[in-house]
Amino acid sequence: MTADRRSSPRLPVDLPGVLLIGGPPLARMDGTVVEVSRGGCRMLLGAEVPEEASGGILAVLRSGQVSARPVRRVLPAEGGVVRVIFEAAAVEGDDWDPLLSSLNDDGGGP
Amino acid sequence: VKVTGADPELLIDACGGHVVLGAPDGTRIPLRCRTTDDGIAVLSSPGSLGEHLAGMIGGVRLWWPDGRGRAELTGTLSPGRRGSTLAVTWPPTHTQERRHLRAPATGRIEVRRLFPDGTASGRLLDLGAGGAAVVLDHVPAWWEAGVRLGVSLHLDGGPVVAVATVVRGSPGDFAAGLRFDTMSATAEDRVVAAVLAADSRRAGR
Repeated sequence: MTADRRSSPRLPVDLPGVLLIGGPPLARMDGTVVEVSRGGCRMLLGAEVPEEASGGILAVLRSGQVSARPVRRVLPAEGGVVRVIFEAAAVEGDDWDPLLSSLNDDGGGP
Repeated sequence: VKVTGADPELLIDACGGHVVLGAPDGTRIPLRCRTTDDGIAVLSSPGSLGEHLAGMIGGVRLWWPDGRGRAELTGTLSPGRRGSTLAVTWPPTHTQERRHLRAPATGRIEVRRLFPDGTASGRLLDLGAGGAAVVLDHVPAWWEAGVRLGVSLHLDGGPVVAVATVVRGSPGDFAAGLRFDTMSATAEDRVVAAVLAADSRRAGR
Protein backbone atom coordinates (compact mmCIF):
# COMPACT_ATOMS: atom_id res chain seq x y z
CA MET A 1 0.00 0.00 0.00
CA THR A 2 2.77 2.44 0.93
CA ALA A 3 4.74 1.78 -2.23
CA ASP A 4 1.55 2.14 -4.23
CA ARG A 5 0.84 5.50 -2.64
CA ARG A 6 4.39 6.74 -3.20
CA SER A 7 4.36 5.75 -6.84
CA SER A 8 1.05 7.46 -7.53
CA PRO A 9 1.58 10.42 -9.85
CA ARG A 10 0.58 13.91 -8.77
CA LEU A 11 -1.78 15.45 -11.26
CA PRO A 12 -2.19 19.22 -11.54
CA VAL A 13 -5.87 20.10 -11.59
CA ASP A 14 -8.18 23.03 -11.02
CA LEU A 15 -11.34 21.68 -9.42
CA PRO A 16 -13.83 23.06 -6.91
CA GLY A 17 -13.36 21.22 -3.64
CA VAL A 18 -14.86 21.03 -0.18
CA LEU A 19 -13.30 19.81 3.04
CA LEU A 20 -15.74 18.49 5.64
CA ILE A 21 -14.30 18.13 9.11
CA GLY A 22 -15.72 17.40 12.55
CA GLY A 23 -19.14 18.31 13.76
CA PRO A 24 -21.59 19.08 14.89
CA PRO A 25 -21.29 21.79 13.82
CA LEU A 26 -19.85 20.48 10.61
CA ALA A 27 -16.87 22.54 9.51
CA ARG A 28 -16.97 23.19 5.77
CA MET A 29 -14.04 24.72 3.95
CA ASP A 30 -14.51 25.58 0.30
CA GLY A 31 -11.58 25.96 -2.03
CA THR A 32 -9.83 24.80 -5.16
CA VAL A 33 -8.03 21.49 -5.48
CA VAL A 34 -4.80 22.16 -7.37
CA GLU A 35 -3.08 18.78 -7.25
CA VAL A 36 -4.33 15.25 -6.72
CA SER A 37 -2.82 11.82 -6.27
CA ARG A 38 -3.93 8.51 -4.88
CA GLY A 39 -2.58 9.36 -1.43
CA GLY A 40 -3.69 12.96 -1.07
CA CYS A 41 -4.06 16.36 -2.61
CA ARG A 42 -3.20 20.02 -2.30
CA MET A 43 -5.99 22.50 -1.91
CA LEU A 44 -6.08 26.28 -2.03
CA LEU A 45 -8.46 27.79 0.49
CA GLY A 46 -9.70 31.34 0.75
CA ALA A 47 -8.20 31.85 4.18
CA GLU A 48 -5.29 30.62 6.26
CA VAL A 49 -5.99 27.45 8.22
CA PRO A 50 -4.49 27.91 11.66
CA GLU A 51 -3.89 24.33 12.72
CA GLU A 52 -3.85 20.83 11.41
CA ALA A 53 -6.92 18.67 11.67
CA SER A 54 -7.59 14.96 11.53
CA GLY A 55 -10.46 13.03 10.04
CA GLY A 56 -13.05 14.17 7.57
CA ILE A 57 -13.92 14.02 3.92
CA LEU A 58 -12.66 15.75 0.81
CA ALA A 59 -15.18 16.15 -1.99
CA VAL A 60 -14.44 17.56 -5.43
CA LEU A 61 -16.72 18.52 -8.26
CA ARG A 62 -15.90 17.63 -11.84
CA SER A 63 -18.26 17.54 -14.78
CA GLY A 64 -21.20 17.75 -12.43
CA GLN A 65 -20.07 14.63 -10.54
CA VAL A 66 -19.02 14.69 -6.88
CA SER A 67 -16.08 12.46 -5.96
CA ALA A 68 -15.15 12.01 -2.33
CA ARG A 69 -12.38 10.45 -0.27
CA PRO A 70 -11.91 9.95 3.50
CA VAL A 71 -9.23 12.22 4.93
CA ARG A 72 -6.71 11.21 7.59
CA ARG A 73 -4.97 14.56 8.14
CA VAL A 74 -5.12 18.12 6.92
CA LEU A 75 -1.79 19.95 7.14
CA PRO A 76 -1.83 23.74 6.73
CA ALA A 77 0.86 25.46 4.70
CA GLU A 78 1.48 29.10 3.81
CA GLY A 79 -0.80 31.11 1.58
CA GLY A 80 -4.01 29.31 2.38
CA VAL A 81 -2.73 26.02 0.97
CA VAL A 82 -3.46 22.79 2.79
CA ARG A 83 -2.01 19.37 2.21
CA VAL A 84 -4.69 16.72 2.54
CA ILE A 85 -3.57 13.18 3.41
CA PHE A 86 -6.09 10.50 2.54
CA GLU A 87 -6.78 7.43 4.57
CA ALA A 88 -4.70 4.57 3.27
CA ALA A 89 -7.47 2.00 3.20
CA ALA A 90 -9.78 1.97 0.23
CA VAL A 91 -13.45 2.18 1.05
CA GLU A 92 -16.33 0.42 -0.54
CA GLY A 93 -17.80 2.40 -3.39
CA ASP A 94 -14.74 4.62 -3.51
CA ASP A 95 -15.19 7.06 -6.33
CA TRP A 96 -11.72 8.57 -6.18
CA ASP A 97 -9.94 6.07 -8.41
CA PRO A 98 -12.40 6.63 -11.29
CA LEU A 99 -11.73 10.35 -10.91
CA LEU A 100 -7.96 9.81 -11.13
CA SER A 101 -8.42 7.59 -14.16
CA SER A 102 -10.49 10.19 -15.94
CA LEU A 103 -7.92 12.87 -15.12
CA ASN A 104 -5.16 10.67 -16.49
CA ASP A 105 -7.12 10.16 -19.67
CA ASP A 106 -7.50 13.83 -20.51
CA GLY A 107 -4.70 15.52 -18.62
CA GLY A 108 -6.71 16.87 -15.69
CA GLY A 109 -8.59 20.08 -15.21
CA PRO A 110 -12.31 20.75 -14.87
CA VAL B 1 -30.03 -10.38 13.23
CA LYS B 2 -29.85 -14.02 12.38
CA VAL B 3 -27.03 -16.35 13.21
CA THR B 4 -26.64 -19.87 11.96
CA GLY B 5 -24.00 -22.46 12.46
CA ALA B 6 -23.66 -25.27 10.00
CA ASP B 7 -22.97 -28.01 12.49
CA PRO B 8 -25.35 -28.24 14.18
CA GLU B 9 -27.70 -25.74 12.66
CA LEU B 10 -28.45 -22.92 15.03
CA LEU B 11 -30.47 -19.82 14.59
CA ILE B 12 -30.34 -16.52 16.42
CA ASP B 13 -33.19 -14.24 15.55
CA ALA B 14 -33.09 -10.70 16.81
CA CYS B 15 -36.12 -9.39 15.01
CA GLY B 16 -37.77 -6.79 17.14
CA GLY B 17 -34.63 -6.33 19.17
CA HIS B 18 -34.91 -9.54 21.15
CA VAL B 19 -32.04 -11.88 20.51
CA VAL B 20 -33.11 -15.49 20.68
CA LEU B 21 -30.95 -18.49 19.98
CA GLY B 22 -32.83 -21.51 18.73
CA ALA B 23 -31.26 -24.95 18.91
CA PRO B 24 -32.19 -27.74 16.47
CA ASP B 25 -34.26 -29.44 19.16
CA GLY B 26 -36.55 -26.42 19.29
CA THR B 27 -35.09 -24.89 22.43
CA ARG B 28 -35.32 -21.10 22.36
CA ILE B 29 -32.78 -19.25 24.48
CA PRO B 30 -33.05 -15.49 25.08
CA LEU B 31 -29.75 -13.68 24.78
CA ARG B 32 -28.45 -10.19 25.21
CA CYS B 33 -26.12 -8.70 22.67
CA ARG B 34 -23.56 -5.98 23.28
CA THR B 35 -20.30 -4.91 21.74
CA THR B 36 -16.96 -4.75 23.48
CA ASP B 37 -14.28 -3.94 20.94
CA ASP B 38 -14.27 -3.48 17.20
CA GLY B 39 -15.69 -6.52 15.52
CA ILE B 40 -16.80 -8.27 18.69
CA ALA B 41 -20.37 -8.80 19.78
CA VAL B 42 -20.98 -10.53 23.09
CA LEU B 43 -24.09 -12.66 23.35
CA SER B 44 -24.90 -13.48 26.95
CA SER B 45 -27.59 -15.70 28.37
CA PRO B 46 -28.91 -15.79 31.94
CA GLY B 47 -27.95 -19.44 32.24
CA SER B 48 -24.65 -21.20 31.71
CA LEU B 49 -25.27 -22.37 28.17
CA GLY B 50 -22.48 -20.42 26.57
CA GLU B 51 -19.71 -22.91 27.21
CA HIS B 52 -21.93 -25.72 26.07
CA LEU B 53 -22.85 -24.06 22.79
CA ALA B 54 -19.28 -23.03 22.08
CA GLY B 55 -18.32 -26.67 22.32
CA MET B 56 -21.03 -27.65 19.89
CA ILE B 57 -20.22 -25.35 17.03
CA GLY B 58 -16.97 -24.21 15.54
CA GLY B 59 -18.32 -21.52 13.32
CA VAL B 60 -21.37 -19.47 12.61
CA ARG B 61 -22.70 -17.49 9.74
CA LEU B 62 -24.36 -14.22 10.59
CA TRP B 63 -26.60 -12.21 8.37
CA TRP B 64 -28.58 -9.09 8.81
CA PRO B 65 -31.65 -9.09 6.58
CA ASP B 66 -32.70 -5.48 6.18
CA GLY B 67 -35.32 -5.69 3.50
CA ARG B 68 -32.80 -5.04 0.73
CA GLY B 69 -31.21 -8.45 0.70
CA ARG B 70 -28.94 -10.47 2.89
CA ALA B 71 -25.48 -9.75 4.08
CA GLU B 72 -23.47 -12.75 5.10
CA LEU B 73 -20.80 -12.56 7.73
CA THR B 74 -18.42 -15.26 8.83
CA GLY B 75 -17.63 -15.39 12.49
CA THR B 76 -16.69 -17.75 15.26
CA LEU B 77 -18.46 -18.46 18.50
CA SER B 78 -16.12 -18.84 21.42
CA PRO B 79 -16.74 -18.89 25.16
CA GLY B 80 -16.19 -15.69 27.07
CA ARG B 81 -14.75 -15.26 30.52
CA ARG B 82 -18.07 -16.05 32.07
CA GLY B 83 -19.73 -19.32 31.28
CA SER B 84 -22.89 -17.59 30.13
CA THR B 85 -21.19 -15.48 27.50
CA LEU B 86 -20.39 -16.19 23.89
CA ALA B 87 -18.18 -13.87 21.94
CA VAL B 88 -18.88 -13.59 18.23
CA THR B 89 -15.86 -12.25 16.45
CA TRP B 90 -15.35 -11.43 12.82
CA PRO B 91 -12.64 -9.85 10.75
CA PRO B 92 -12.90 -6.06 10.79
CA THR B 93 -12.53 -6.01 7.03
CA HIS B 94 -16.05 -7.22 6.40
CA THR B 95 -17.21 -3.77 5.43
CA GLN B 96 -19.91 -4.97 3.08
CA GLU B 97 -21.62 -6.96 5.79
CA ARG B 98 -21.28 -4.28 8.44
CA ARG B 99 -22.95 -1.77 6.16
CA HIS B 100 -26.18 -3.72 6.42
CA LEU B 101 -26.44 -3.24 10.17
CA ARG B 102 -29.02 -0.71 11.21
CA ALA B 103 -31.19 0.04 14.24
CA PRO B 104 -33.57 2.74 15.48
CA ALA B 105 -31.53 5.69 16.66
CA THR B 106 -31.88 8.93 18.55
CA GLY B 107 -29.81 12.02 17.95
CA ARG B 108 -29.29 14.85 15.57
CA ILE B 109 -27.93 15.01 12.07
CA GLU B 110 -26.56 18.02 10.27
CA VAL B 111 -26.31 18.01 6.49
CA ARG B 112 -24.69 20.33 3.99
CA ARG B 113 -25.23 20.22 0.29
CA LEU B 114 -21.85 19.99 -1.38
CA PHE B 115 -22.22 21.95 -4.63
CA PRO B 116 -23.65 24.55 -4.31
CA ASP B 117 -23.65 25.02 -0.56
CA GLY B 118 -26.85 24.51 1.38
CA THR B 119 -27.68 23.41 4.89
CA ALA B 120 -30.35 21.46 6.74
CA SER B 121 -30.66 19.59 10.01
CA GLY B 122 -32.95 17.07 11.57
CA ARG B 123 -33.23 14.10 13.85
CA LEU B 124 -32.34 10.49 13.26
CA LEU B 125 -35.00 7.82 12.99
CA ASP B 126 -32.67 4.94 12.37
CA LEU B 127 -29.02 4.56 11.62
CA GLY B 128 -26.71 2.08 10.00
CA ALA B 129 -23.24 2.05 8.52
CA GLY B 130 -24.90 2.09 5.10
CA GLY B 131 -27.27 4.97 5.71
CA ALA B 132 -29.88 6.64 7.87
CA ALA B 133 -33.50 7.64 7.96
CA VAL B 134 -34.07 11.20 9.12
CA VAL B 135 -36.81 13.72 9.76
CA LEU B 136 -35.82 17.21 8.74
CA ASP B 137 -36.61 20.31 10.78
CA HIS B 138 -37.13 22.33 7.63
CA VAL B 139 -37.10 21.06 4.07
CA PRO B 140 -34.88 23.15 1.80
CA ALA B 141 -36.02 23.82 -1.75
CA TRP B 142 -33.10 21.85 -3.18
CA TRP B 143 -33.90 18.68 -1.23
CA GLU B 144 -34.63 15.76 -3.54
CA ALA B 145 -33.41 12.25 -4.30
CA GLY B 146 -29.96 12.14 -5.84
CA VAL B 147 -28.51 15.21 -4.11
CA ARG B 148 -25.10 14.53 -2.54
CA LEU B 149 -24.50 15.87 0.93
CA GLY B 150 -21.92 16.15 3.61
CA VAL B 151 -23.41 14.81 6.83
CA SER B 152 -22.34 15.05 10.43
CA LEU B 153 -23.66 12.80 13.18
CA HIS B 154 -22.99 13.23 16.87
CA LEU B 155 -22.42 9.77 18.30
CA ASP B 156 -21.12 8.60 21.67
CA GLY B 157 -17.83 7.50 20.16
CA GLY B 158 -17.23 10.88 18.55
CA PRO B 159 -18.46 12.85 15.55
CA VAL B 160 -18.96 11.08 12.26
CA VAL B 161 -18.55 12.83 8.94
CA ALA B 162 -19.54 11.22 5.66
CA VAL B 163 -20.67 11.99 2.16
CA ALA B 164 -24.20 10.76 1.58
CA THR B 165 -26.82 10.71 -1.17
CA VAL B 166 -30.50 11.41 -0.65
CA VAL B 167 -32.19 8.19 -1.75
CA ARG B 168 -35.73 8.93 -0.61
CA GLY B 169 -37.23 12.33 -0.45
CA SER B 170 -38.75 14.98 -2.60
CA PRO B 171 -39.34 18.70 -2.23
CA GLY B 172 -41.65 19.19 0.75
CA ASP B 173 -41.03 15.78 2.34
CA PHE B 174 -39.75 15.93 5.90
CA ALA B 175 -38.92 12.23 6.12
CA ALA B 176 -35.97 11.16 4.02
CA GLY B 177 -33.49 8.35 3.54
CA LEU B 178 -29.77 8.85 3.17
CA ARG B 179 -27.17 6.46 1.81
CA PHE B 180 -23.63 6.89 3.12
CA ASP B 181 -21.34 6.84 0.10
CA THR B 182 -17.99 7.75 1.59
CA MET B 183 -17.00 7.21 5.18
CA SER B 184 -13.68 6.65 6.91
CA ALA B 185 -12.98 3.33 8.62
CA THR B 186 -12.97 5.10 11.98
CA ALA B 187 -16.32 6.72 11.29
CA GLU B 188 -17.80 3.41 10.18
CA ASP B 189 -16.54 1.74 13.38
CA ARG B 190 -18.34 4.43 15.41
CA VAL B 191 -21.59 3.96 13.53
CA VAL B 192 -21.47 0.18 13.82
CA ALA B 193 -20.75 0.44 17.56
CA ALA B 194 -23.67 2.86 17.98
CA VAL B 195 -26.02 0.57 16.06
CA LEU B 196 -25.03 -2.51 18.05
CA ALA B 197 -25.31 -0.57 21.31
CA ALA B 198 -28.82 0.61 20.37
CA ASP B 199 -29.78 -2.95 19.48
CA SER B 200 -28.40 -4.15 22.81
CA ARG B 201 -30.29 -1.48 24.77
CA ARG B 202 -33.55 -2.44 23.12
CA ALA B 203 -32.91 -6.14 23.74
CA GLY B 204 -32.23 -5.38 27.41
CA ARG B 205 -35.54 -3.65 28.01
